[in-house]
Amino acid sequence: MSNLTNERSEKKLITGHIQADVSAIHAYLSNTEDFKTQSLATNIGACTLVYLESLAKKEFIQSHIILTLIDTEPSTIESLATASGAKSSSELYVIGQALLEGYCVVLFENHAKAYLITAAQTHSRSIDEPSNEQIIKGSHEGFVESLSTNLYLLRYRIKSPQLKVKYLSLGTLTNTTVAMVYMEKLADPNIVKECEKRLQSIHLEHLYSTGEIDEMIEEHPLSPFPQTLHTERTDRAVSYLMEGKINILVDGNPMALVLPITFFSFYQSPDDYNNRWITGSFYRLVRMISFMLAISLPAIYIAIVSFHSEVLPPGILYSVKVSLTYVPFPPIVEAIAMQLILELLKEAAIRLPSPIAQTIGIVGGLVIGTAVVEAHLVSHTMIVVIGLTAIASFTAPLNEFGTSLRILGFPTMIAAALFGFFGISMMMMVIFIHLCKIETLGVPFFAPFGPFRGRDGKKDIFLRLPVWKTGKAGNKQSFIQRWKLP
Amino acid sequence: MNISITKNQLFFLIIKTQIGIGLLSLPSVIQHSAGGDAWISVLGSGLAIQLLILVYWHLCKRYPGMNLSEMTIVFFGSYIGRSVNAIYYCFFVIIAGYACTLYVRLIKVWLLPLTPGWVLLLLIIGVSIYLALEDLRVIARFYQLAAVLFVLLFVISLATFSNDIHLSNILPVGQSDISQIISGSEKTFFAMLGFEVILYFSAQVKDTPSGILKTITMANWFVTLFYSYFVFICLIGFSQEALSKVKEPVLFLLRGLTFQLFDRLDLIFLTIWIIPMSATIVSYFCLAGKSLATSKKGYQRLVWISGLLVLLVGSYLYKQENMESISQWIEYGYLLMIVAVPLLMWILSFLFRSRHKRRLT
Repeated sequence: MSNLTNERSEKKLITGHIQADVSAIHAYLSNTEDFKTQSLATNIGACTLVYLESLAKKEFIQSHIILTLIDTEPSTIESLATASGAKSSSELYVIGQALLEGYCVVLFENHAKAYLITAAQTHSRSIDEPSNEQIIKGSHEGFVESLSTNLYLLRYRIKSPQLKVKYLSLGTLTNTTVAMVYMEKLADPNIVKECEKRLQSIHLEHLYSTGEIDEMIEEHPLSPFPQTLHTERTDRAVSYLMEGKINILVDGNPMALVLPITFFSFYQSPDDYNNRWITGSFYRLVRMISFMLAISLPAIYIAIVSFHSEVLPPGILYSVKVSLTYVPFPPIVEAIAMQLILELLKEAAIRLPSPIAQTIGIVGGLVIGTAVVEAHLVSHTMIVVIGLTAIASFTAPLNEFGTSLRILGFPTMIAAALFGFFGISMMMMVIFIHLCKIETLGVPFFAPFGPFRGRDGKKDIFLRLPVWKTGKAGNKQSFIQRWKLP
Repeated sequence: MNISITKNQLFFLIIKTQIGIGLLSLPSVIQHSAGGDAWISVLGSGLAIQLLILVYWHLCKRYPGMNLSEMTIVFFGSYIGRSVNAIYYCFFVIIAGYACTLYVRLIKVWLLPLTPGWVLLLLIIGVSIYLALEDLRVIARFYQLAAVLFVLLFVISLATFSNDIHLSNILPVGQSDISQIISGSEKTFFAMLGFEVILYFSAQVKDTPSGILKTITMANWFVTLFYSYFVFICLIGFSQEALSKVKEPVLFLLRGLTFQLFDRLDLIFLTIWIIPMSATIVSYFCLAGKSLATSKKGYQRLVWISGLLVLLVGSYLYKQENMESISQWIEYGYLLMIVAVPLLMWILSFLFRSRHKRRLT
């Protein structure tokens, strides 16, 4: 890291002697072997092209740069450069960086300036639907690895002069381009300023993904809840831009990092807006209920069987107790073991190719599920409870949130095993107090519920009322501006 | 330190502080004195509180942007004012300790008979401190969120109408003497305490005085009606004889209900009720902190210290066999701190009007 900064500050210049300069540039690039040179004789003197063959497009250099250099008959080098739209520099550092970005560098004999012509090759994956955020109805576009394609996807959807892109270069070794995208008039200027300040304060040697940026700028590293939202869906990213939020895109990463984000964003899906509003509202409510279930269902079960079995009427109590009779473990052990088995199965199935993953599903679901009950290791009811909990946690449209919920299930279970219903209440209080406490970039995480904004809340948070009702059409202030504080 | 809140948030701060442990045993307590007219006593008590909060409001209006601990310094000078604040601090800590004791006893009777009391005390204080450390805005946010539970509690209470109802229990209306009703009101008054948060929190509300008056009045009548509703359903659900024998009639009322999927609605009710009860304790931590500290750091340090003190007070009170005399002392303390001192200051504010005006400007 210090080496690089030294090189920058030394300001080494090129001399104008092709041989010496080429070897200086070559040395700057650690004498790499994909470094190519090509000497030409033009009618304004001898020149040499320098490029990295792994980055530059050879056909382009051949057909455009070389042919132009040989064929045209300009009087001076300058006029040639302006005609081909080249940048010029004599600083070794700038030339080296340009080569690393796929530029072709043209050096002339006895001319202490190099001309940089862009010739980068671009390879990008075709735009297809992200597999982790699938929807039924609606757009099937997802972000790809190339930053320029991603920006194109955003611009293509928002044809507005307000859409603003700010570039930053992060990572002292990788020099990754990071783009901050927002709507100039909708985004809160203070939030934008704060976000930019935080981005600029990042000092990393290498930056690969949005996840690292997330960790570097989030406010509550100890919180179990994700405080920024990662999405691969372009329609999702665009809808957040229109709410006045900021998207951060990292070159080489098919994700947009959205901030500031609120809790309820994790429970919205583009599907809601493509279906009829009644359907959309219904599924939103189902997801909200699933949030509570995912955290508390196993805990409630544990509390009931170990402390308050009188809550169940005799009929149900009998069948629960019968299934518990031969189980040698306390319910908390059963529950934690089953949750861990579930996580194991999930983790194993993720990385396997899909035909094998199905086998895992069958082995896990059918074989372990039935065998464990028949061997009297776990009770029937526990299997039902854990199954329901897992399904509830998977309904969160964004996977990372569901994982947070399952993790939060563990302390709640322990609290229930120690203190019964009282423990659950206390744990729920802690979780919700925490949700009310955290803020991202000055926006309360639990808005619009804590602080309560009844009008916004019912329109597009718990329910998904029709668009003409939500006031999204022609509203002057973005949600973020309204929710800021208190 | 003095972050502004909305009047909406003030509403929730008041009702969450007021509605707490007192309600559960209230119906049988006032039934002793007011009999079938106990529900009228609750309304009467609401009226008395309304008069008191008018005084509070007028006092706060006269010294805008000041909470009680700042006012005492204006009124009594730096030294006496500070010692008055220190007395307030001790008072709030004792109230929090007392509320914790009742709370722990209730949990022990209904939910966890074998868990040692100090563990419960520690848990309650720990969770309360976790919230009380934050600024008022965050506390208000949580209260707003938790206020949804009142709707749930109300829905659960509707189930009691499937019990046998004897409307004749409250008839004829006005069967008790006025004096009996008033003595019932007096008892209700002590179950409805918590409106003193107005003296500390209304200074932080960004609104006109009339807006604040509307909010605190609405909060008071919300609480009064909520209380009288529960007293009412207990009166029509139990005979007077039964009501005088049970300690927590609201819970007993739900106990007998049976449904296909679950029994013992009282346990579910109590599980939810835990949250308003804890909120009351959070409010007293916050009041204690605000009565002495002026900076955020000092406030947080004070909350930690109060936590320790409440733990000591709570475990001392918890060991006491006879709470009667202690409750009596605490009631006297209440009358002095919540009624007498603010009234005195209100009267003084007329006398010192011109002098204070000069000092404030």
